[in-house]
Amino acid sequence: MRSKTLIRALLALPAAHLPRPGRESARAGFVAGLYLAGTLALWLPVAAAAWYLERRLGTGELVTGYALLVFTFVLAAFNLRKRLPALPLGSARAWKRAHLAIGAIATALYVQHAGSPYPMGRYEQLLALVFCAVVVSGLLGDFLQRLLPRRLTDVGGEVIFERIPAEIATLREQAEALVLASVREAGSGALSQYYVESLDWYFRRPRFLLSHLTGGNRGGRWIRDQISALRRYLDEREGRALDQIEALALRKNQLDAHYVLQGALKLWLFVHVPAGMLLVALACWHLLVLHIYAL
Amino acid sequence: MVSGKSEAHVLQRPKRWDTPFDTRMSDEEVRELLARPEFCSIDAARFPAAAPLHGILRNDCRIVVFRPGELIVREGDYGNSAFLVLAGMARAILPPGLPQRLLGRSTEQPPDWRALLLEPFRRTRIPEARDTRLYTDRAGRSGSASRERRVSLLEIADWRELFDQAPAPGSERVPPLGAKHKTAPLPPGSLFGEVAALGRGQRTATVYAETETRVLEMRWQALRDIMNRDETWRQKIERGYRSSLFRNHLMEHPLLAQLDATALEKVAAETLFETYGSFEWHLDFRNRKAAPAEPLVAAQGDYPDGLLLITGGFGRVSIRLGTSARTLTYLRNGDHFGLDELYESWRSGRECPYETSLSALGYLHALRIPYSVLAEHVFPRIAPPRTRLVDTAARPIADDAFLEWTVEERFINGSSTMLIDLDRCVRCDDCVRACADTHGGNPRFVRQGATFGKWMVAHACMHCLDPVCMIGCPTGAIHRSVAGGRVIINDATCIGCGTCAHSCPYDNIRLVAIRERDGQPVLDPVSREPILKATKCDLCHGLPSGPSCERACAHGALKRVDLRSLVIHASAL
Amino acid sequence: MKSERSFRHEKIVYERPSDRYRCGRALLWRKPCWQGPDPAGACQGQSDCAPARIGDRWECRRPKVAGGKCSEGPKPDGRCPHTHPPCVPRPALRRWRGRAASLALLVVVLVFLIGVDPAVPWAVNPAALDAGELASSHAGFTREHGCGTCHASHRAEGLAWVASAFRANDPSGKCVDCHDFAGPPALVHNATFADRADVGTISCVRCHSEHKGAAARLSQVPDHVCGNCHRRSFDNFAAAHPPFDERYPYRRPGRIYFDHVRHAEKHFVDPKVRARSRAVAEFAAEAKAKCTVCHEVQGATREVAPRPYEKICGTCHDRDVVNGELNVLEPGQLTVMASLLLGMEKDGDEEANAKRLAELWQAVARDGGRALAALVAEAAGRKPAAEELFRGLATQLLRDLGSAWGAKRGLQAGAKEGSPGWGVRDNAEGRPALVYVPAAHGDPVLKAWIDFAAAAARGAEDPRRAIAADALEQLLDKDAVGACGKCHGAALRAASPLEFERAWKRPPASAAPHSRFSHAPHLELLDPDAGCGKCHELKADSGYAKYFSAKPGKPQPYQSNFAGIRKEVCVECHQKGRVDSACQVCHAYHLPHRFKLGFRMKGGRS
Repeated sequence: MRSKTLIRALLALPAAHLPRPGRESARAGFVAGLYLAGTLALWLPVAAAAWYLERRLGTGELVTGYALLVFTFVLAAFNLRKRLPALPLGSARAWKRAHLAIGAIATALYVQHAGSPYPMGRYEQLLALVFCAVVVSGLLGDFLQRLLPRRLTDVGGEVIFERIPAEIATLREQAEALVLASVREAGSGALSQYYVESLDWYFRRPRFLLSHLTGGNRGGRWIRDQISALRRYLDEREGRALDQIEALALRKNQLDAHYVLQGALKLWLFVHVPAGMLLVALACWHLLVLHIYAL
Repeated sequence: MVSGKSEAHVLQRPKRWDTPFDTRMSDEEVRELLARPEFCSIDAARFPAAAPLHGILRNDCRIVVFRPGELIVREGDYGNSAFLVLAGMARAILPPGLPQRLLGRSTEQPPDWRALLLEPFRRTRIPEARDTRLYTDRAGRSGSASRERRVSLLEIADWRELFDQAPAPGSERVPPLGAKHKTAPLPPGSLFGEVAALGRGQRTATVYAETETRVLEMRWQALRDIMNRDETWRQKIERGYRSSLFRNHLMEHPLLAQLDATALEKVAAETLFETYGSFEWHLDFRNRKAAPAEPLVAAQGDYPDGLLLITGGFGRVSIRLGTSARTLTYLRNGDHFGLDELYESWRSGRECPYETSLSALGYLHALRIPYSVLAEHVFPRIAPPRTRLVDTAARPIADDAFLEWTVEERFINGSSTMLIDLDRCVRCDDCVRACADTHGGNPRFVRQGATFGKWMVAHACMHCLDPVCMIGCPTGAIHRSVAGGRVIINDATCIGCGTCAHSCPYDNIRLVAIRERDGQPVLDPVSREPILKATKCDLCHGLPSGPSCERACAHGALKRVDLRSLVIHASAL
Repeated sequence: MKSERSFRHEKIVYERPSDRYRCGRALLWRKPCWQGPDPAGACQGQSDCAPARIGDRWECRRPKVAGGKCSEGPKPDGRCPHTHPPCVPRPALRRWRGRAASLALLVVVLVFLIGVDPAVPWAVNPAALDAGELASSHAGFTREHGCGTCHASHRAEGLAWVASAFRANDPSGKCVDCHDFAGPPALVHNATFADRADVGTISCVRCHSEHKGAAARLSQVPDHVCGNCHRRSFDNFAAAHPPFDERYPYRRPGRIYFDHVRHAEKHFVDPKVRARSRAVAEFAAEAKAKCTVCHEVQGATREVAPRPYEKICGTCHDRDVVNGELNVLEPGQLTVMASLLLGMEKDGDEEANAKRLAELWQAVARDGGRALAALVAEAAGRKPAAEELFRGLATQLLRDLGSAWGAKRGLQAGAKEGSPGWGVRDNAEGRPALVYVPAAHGDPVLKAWIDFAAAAARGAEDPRRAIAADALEQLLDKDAVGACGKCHGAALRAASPLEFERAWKRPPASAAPHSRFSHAPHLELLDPDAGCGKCHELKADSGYAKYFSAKPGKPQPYQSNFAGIRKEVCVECHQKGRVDSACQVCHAYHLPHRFKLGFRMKGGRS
């Protein structure tokens, strides 16, 4: 009933028909402002308290240290949240925003806590390196997450990563069937020779990975060049088969791009997640050692 | 039934009446029912042997007794069954109906926290694992989904809101409602609730038991079978359907809100009920070879003779542009068409032609109020329309494409369409994993589907306004939740016939072969075919915080939306 | 515009991203089977279906997802004709990620837990505890016993080691095994402060952080650490350090009345002075020009002591010291000394006085020095003993004098007039008197008499006290014999009996254990002869003399005849970019430090 009323209201209101980009961006700005304020509200008290204590007999490192530990756990809990989707633990979007904000705060606090960029102790050096790896991989991941989805949209031909091998296999089967049929009908060997020499290689597995990763179109150019080189040797019927093969190859080119770009969107986590886990472990060790030896 | 560990399990393939509506229905009661005038007039010979009349009464109906004051149906609830009054007296509350808070409606049932907390520890890696004992243990279950707490008008906090005099405690009869509440009596033999049941829609009125009332609750499948084989029932149902539609739609319509009862009666008398297109549109639509027929309801340039109030289905509003027609918007239940032109004609005294065309997408049900009635009773009482439908043509043509796409793909039907912004989606599959984790390890959608620019409508149930998937279900396993109207499949009563999956125009219902919890497939003992169950998105029914796919999307890419809200903001895309 | 129906519900199954295994065929870029691996990772796709036996026939059961029932149907023996070699399913990507995480964790745990000592294979690897290299000063002696030298908990093992995390483990307790200070080591500044009762103890590590590398200087503490407690926290001496006291560092008077201004401006340039002798003239000229004539600055630290009297003051003032004879005893006269010894007032009963003196003369004639010694004992009740007061006085001379006084006759003078030491002179009446002539600056007899008078003046007995006070004033008069009071008077008058002896001498440097200043390096930068005025600026009309020449009982406030040293003078050099101006340059946190005896052994053994 409520949605009905809403729709009626929408139909009745003159302005509702028209888009209001101004209001949308104002809302986005408000959210961004709120987000920034929240980040500062979380960071400034800790940083200021530590700075103040540092100037009141130097227990500031304890404040930043424990804050870092808590933040590290909160950051790591993002992974846990993803494993418990049924519980009302807040939306993953809010978690991700908090993850970014707290990650930035933790980096700032880390600099304040460690003082020097490269500590003297060996396990502390490892801790610093791991922290660095987490931050750098996180930044890279965020960058990729902002960049690559658009590239994937532009590539088109949406496909689920796990289905790419099956799709490539299907394309290969279809291409092979086309070649076989063409050979049976025309009897000329040009197409089959070409398939064995070149296309078989191309359809075997994803190709031109680096080009796809960097946004190039080496695969597409390769297909164009190959097809145009071959076409002059084929009769009309074989030409039609070649057109179909070209369509398959172009689809394969799309799949290759998806394979590389979706792979990149997954691979950075291979650094971020293990390093993050290591960081949690090393941070706990650091806490233990410190309490045993110095506090 | 369960064989050795390495062997496949077998399970008698479930049949339509494996799970009766109410296991307590006795032969005695069926005989008693068959003796009633409503049923004895039916020619039982016209029913097939697989679904005889007494079988229908036995398995698809149940007898329920309501105490005085108890609500039998509530306005706004989604209904899957109709009611036949057997004894006592029921009373329908006519529009405007009771305020929501008096209806005792709790929006959702409270979440099962224990199950939620234990869920991570109960996950199984076996795909589509089921405890098949639940299917065979027939005594312990009932197909009736309505176990909800009954609400009684007599439990109201302040009786003055409803009654003129305080109801006597323990009284056998509910006192008449106050003057501001219009009611209609439903004596024994009355049929009600059939509109919502057959139309897959919401209850249009609240009905309560005035005295102790014994009713026969009939699943809509029973109603369908009987009306298909008995002319008397068919006419009765159609009559009831129309009158109910007239009464409720006209009385509720905001344009007619200012009319008094007599004027409304006059309007109702003159109003026509019209149907365009095919009610079974989805069959055409699924076969994509040809463009589905789109009957024209009103053509741009023609002269209107009446106002169309849309009561069901969808209509496309278009305007001629170049060599084709440009879609401006689409209309659905509750919308109206032609007001701008008719009002202008009435105001200016010269005839104004339609500025836009209306065509039926699939089917379109509409009430037509003739101009003469409008001029006499309606226009003098309403404010001039502030906007005109044709105003929507003011947006840039470039913005049409998305709307055209949603109409063409019939995504207009969805109320919770899974729309993914591919520019934000990092293809992490967190949504699918979240879905699986909230459904016993099994995803309930495929993260792939039709794309338009950066938008993708994934293959997840859209919870249609017109859920055609429900049309053929023999058991009523697929139903709309009483509150909220989500389309849900009851796994216990699903027989895996696949009718819903075939009916779904969007391929969002999938049949899965179930396995026992030890990982072995469950087979039919005779045909050795796997036992199937229809599965689909249930919008995480029972979870405290909404669909987990949307909540699991860390990038704000996945949204469950009513596409119309997006279409209206088309150029924001 | 309408999309192809490529997702027909019967063609596509749910993709299950949570599955632990992926089909091995897909990893080889071949078509994966429709069944996929089972949850345990075994291949399920060796045949397209498991045909079902219906009656006596076998029926294909290939699902629509995989293409529906096959045309040829199962083989007569019920086997599916579409068989494939089994694949090796591989863990899904996310499992590899999990494995990578576990592996990284495992490697770190192993590296941490495997010690270098093969005898203790599961000890914690020292690298896992390494907080950084020790400062070179600490690295040597801790080598033998490792972390346990300072961290007591290091020696705990196993669970006890972990449990010690819940105890206080401040390593500062170990610092004092070796380091000692001239005050309680744990107290802030090693001292208590009357006005700051809130200041308590502090741990060493608050300021001194170890494990910062071999080159780290542990005693160097950044300024903000001082700011931890000191209310005005700053890191800029020039801008933020409070100004010095305007009389700094001349707040208290010295023990010698020496007016720098009068000497420099008047005496050293006075022609009369210069005319006295060549030596005097030369000295005056030089002293006028250079402070270093009197002040020995070469190698001076904070304190710059003046040269000895004989080297400087004596040049001019020796003639003030050896300036006459002190009449000690004479008949018919109550000398200052006699009134002191006998406790008699000058203007008292003359008959009684005369009688008392006559008795004394008899006793002296009879007993010599012993008679006087008895009087001294009676008068003072304590040292200085009579021998100090009458050092060098021959007993025979006394007897003779006593006889002469008793007989009221004359006596041949025992010594030449003006020669230092004891002697006899005839007084105005021609009668012999016992006189004393001071020999030089610091004459012990004269000093003993002043001390004797001062002690008596502060004694208990009232009539004698007034007599002694009067006597002391006469002895300290600037024109008195020896002129002691001229320079020493103010300090002596102000001193208590216990301080009296010290009041003669230059005081030791004032105690400022938390300050550092050394003249020597500063003078290296200045002209060592004339540069003192840069900081020590004479103030002409200061009223310096008032304090020293105040009448008894009317003390005057002290005013130095130097202008106070201003911070700005220091800032000229001590500022950013020039000379270090950190707190520690001028201030010392600790009281003087020393190592405990045998600290090496202690440090090593404990």
